Amino acid sequence: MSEAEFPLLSFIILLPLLGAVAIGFIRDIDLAKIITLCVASFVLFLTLFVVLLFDNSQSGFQLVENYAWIPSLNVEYFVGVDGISVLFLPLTALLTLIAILASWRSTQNNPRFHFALLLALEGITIGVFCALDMMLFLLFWELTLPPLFFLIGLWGIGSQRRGAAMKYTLYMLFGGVPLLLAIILLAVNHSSQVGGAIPYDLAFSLPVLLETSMPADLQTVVFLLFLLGFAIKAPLVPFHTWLPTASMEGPTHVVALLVGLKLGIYGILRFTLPLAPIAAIEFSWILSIIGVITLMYGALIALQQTNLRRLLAFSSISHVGMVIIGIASLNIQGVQGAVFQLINFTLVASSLMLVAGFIQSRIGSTDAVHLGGMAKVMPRLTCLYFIFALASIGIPGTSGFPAELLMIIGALTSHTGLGIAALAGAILGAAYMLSFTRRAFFGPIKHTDVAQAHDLKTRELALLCFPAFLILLFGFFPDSILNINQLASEAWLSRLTVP
Amino acid sequence: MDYTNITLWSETVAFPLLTTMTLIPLIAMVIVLFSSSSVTALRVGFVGTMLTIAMSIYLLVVFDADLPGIQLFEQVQNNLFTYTVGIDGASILFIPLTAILSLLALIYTLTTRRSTDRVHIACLLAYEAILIGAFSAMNAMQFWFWCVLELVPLVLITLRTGSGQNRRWVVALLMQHWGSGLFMLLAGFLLLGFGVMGSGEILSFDWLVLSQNENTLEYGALIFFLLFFGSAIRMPLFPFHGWLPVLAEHGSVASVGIFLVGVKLGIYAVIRFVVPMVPDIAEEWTWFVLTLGLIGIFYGALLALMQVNIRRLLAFAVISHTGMLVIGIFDFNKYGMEGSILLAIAYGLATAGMLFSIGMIYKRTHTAYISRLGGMFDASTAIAVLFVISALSTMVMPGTPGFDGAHLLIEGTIKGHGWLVSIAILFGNVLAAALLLRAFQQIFIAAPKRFQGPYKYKTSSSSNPSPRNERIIAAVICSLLIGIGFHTSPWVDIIDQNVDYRTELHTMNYDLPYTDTDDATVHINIKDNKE
Repeated sequence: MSEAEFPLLSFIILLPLLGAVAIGFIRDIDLAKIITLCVASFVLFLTLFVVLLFDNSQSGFQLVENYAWIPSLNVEYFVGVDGISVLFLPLTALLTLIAILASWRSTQNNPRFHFALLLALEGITIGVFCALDMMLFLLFWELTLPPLFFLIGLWGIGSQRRGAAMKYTLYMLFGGVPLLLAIILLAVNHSSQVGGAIPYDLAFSLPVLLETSMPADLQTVVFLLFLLGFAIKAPLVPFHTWLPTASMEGPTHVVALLVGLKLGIYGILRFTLPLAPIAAIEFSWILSIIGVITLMYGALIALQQTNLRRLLAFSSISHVGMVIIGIASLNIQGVQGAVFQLINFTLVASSLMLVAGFIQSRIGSTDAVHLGGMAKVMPRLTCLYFIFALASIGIPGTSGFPAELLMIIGALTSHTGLGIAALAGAILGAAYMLSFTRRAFFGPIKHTDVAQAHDLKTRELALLCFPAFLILLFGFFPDSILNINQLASEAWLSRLTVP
Repeated sequence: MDYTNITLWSETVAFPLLTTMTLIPLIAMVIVLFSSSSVTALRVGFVGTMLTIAMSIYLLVVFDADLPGIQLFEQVQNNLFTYTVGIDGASILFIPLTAILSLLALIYTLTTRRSTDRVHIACLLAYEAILIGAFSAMNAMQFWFWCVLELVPLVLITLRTGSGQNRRWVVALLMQHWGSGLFMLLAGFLLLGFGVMGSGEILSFDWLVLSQNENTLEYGALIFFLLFFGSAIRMPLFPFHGWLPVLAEHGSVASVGIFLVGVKLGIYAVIRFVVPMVPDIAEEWTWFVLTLGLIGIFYGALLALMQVNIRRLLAFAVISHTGMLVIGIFDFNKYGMEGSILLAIAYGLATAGMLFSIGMIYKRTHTAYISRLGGMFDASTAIAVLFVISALSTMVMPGTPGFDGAHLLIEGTIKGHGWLVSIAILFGNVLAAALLLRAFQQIFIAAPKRFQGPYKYKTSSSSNPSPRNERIIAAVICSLLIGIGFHTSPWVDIIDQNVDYRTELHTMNYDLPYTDTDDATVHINIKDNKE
């Protein structure tokens, strides 16, 4: 573990929050927007700087900051990054910047509050990825809810947006219950392991808890509680129903953040398996089965969808299943593929959702029956959509390919059936993506709305070019990502090998 | 009498601080009653409450969190009665809370038509004095006396400013409930006092004498139930809650409510005057209290979900979280107790915030029916922010004191009663989140139904809503909630002072199952095997 000389991570977490507060005091809307943009760009710059500073040759946590927060309970303000989490920082910043640009003009109602919430969400999400103290993690985790509650409820595009905001918030609050219980169990277990008195020997710090041994039956409980809590956020079948609702009712740039930032899977990867290793090895088959069910179910339902936004929601669920299979295979290919796929999906799923938003704002619908023949009218949009769709399918040359390849190899190595299921899921993924593309983008133009639609404007084109470029870059040079998380993944795996 | 663990006031401060804090609002009240103009009355009221706040800050400064036991102890003994005051970690935080809520209540009167009403201002000041007196009382009869006095401002304000048609009936109902509660408390204290005296000492209701009693009480269970039920009515705990929704609907919108449910005197009574008096019996009947608490959590939440009147909804939400606080006390361990006290403060502040918010909405729209409200977010952002931050604190969102309190309470409950009860409590909390968020959406975000756009006043200027005062109230409560939420440790330390002391004083079973020697050895064995 290496300490930070300058509290860079805290600065990155605080800056957007301060920006959000500052916007609250600025009356001029244009100035507020520009400040939002400046803060978001600066955060992106800082997070890229973090990646630069990050030392690939170390497996532990870096840029660590540790201060006492609630000394009587040993709760600390403890942040740091390792090879698994470091890449999510610039991606979060990039995604927020894109979301801000995408909603630049479309937010007419109370725009200052809207941009303040987006910035606050950025700071909190980066906090989730950096937190190394369980209580701090839970703090950031639950704090993501109020901004999303307002963003979905106030600026949603569906008529049931308030219901969707309620549904999302309640699902997540229910998910918070098992997480809190699991965290308390871990802390109490640490106290009983060192044989100390309860108030002084509780531990909430992740590195300490990783070193604490735990009886197998307790591990099972912790594992299942964590799994339940994170499965709701991920989302895994059968806790997924909030996502299609949110994606139909919420504003598309916010849904892009929701489907792009896979906090739930990050939680499974970072906390669930390493903190309960014996249980994780014993119950990895449960994880695999849930993964296969989620993969197949999501893909089959996506195949039935006529609306692009619902389709993308189910496609996202299906991809989550694939990542879970990768993690459950418990070998280096699977894990690296899973991390790669998370990064890839941050770019792909959110960009596709933004494209859906652009279609929605032009034509007033993303349903296939209202579309058709868009390729002729909107060549730029179609072109970018196609790049993202190909990356989602996992065509070689895009970042989806190395990710899926690694995961399928991982799955095949661990169990043949699992590998075959992952392969079948990949094929289904191609089926639903391409079939929707055919219906919506090709064929004759049936509606005047489509015929009169404008192509992407420069701002929209520019913001979609970022992720498109990165997708191609990571597709051709996957090592740029794999190098960063190689050691962290090996260290992660070393905790989970059968002794 | 055992004087260990007691710090006299003369050791810390130059004047009897606690008595002064009780007297300041009382003197201000007398001046207000005899003042000739309403402007003077208001000014005196503000000076009085501000001074009390200053004193309570001074109180927090001089209070030594590292020193266990009762501090700032004052005692005046006479043949007939004893006047004893003192504070410890369990009571100290309630005093600044009372002081702040009193000031806010006074500011709130400026936004309503009551600012020229001298009796109303006097009632608020009297209520403040009574609550501070009750929280510093270290004598059972003295505490009971303050509890009786509490009825005076309560009834006066309800009769004078109540918004319902049936407020006389409400007052009658209130008198029945509270009367029986106070009677039970009195009977309990008398039985306890005489029971303790049976061993040959002189009759005393002093808290120290009563709580250090070593004799077996003859009517132990009876005393426990009289005291507990008496306090349960004040809380109110299911099934003694009947008066609260009715009072909330027909009484004044916020003036009384912020003291009634904002300052948890009933919970405090259990912590101070019930459990320490009969610890063994209390522990024996834990299952009973636990059942009531659990039923209360879900009963309150479910009924709150069905309400169409936001004032009744908040009343049921209070009944729901009261169950949780009681369970925390009856965990019989350090964490549960600390969590309960911290949560009582946090819930009190948050509920007061929501009541203020509703009161200011009522002032603007003259309705509390959720179905008639809507779009209040645009009408006043301050009110909306106040409501949402308070609601988040009530649903124990991290970053508010509610989270730390609930976290401690859950830790205590896991050790005291196991997993199922803890999970039930947390689900009760999610239900509370559901009902509060739904109410928030319907009142603030949904399209306005009755009024088009922000409600405009065309009547005389005196009834105009005052955005400045609304903002002050919102700013004070929100900054307190968020400030304490992110900076909890000093407050936990203060509460800790008391609980550590309790652990030494009583032979209550504070041992936690996880630290049991047997358990620990088993775990260590596992560790050894691995190595």
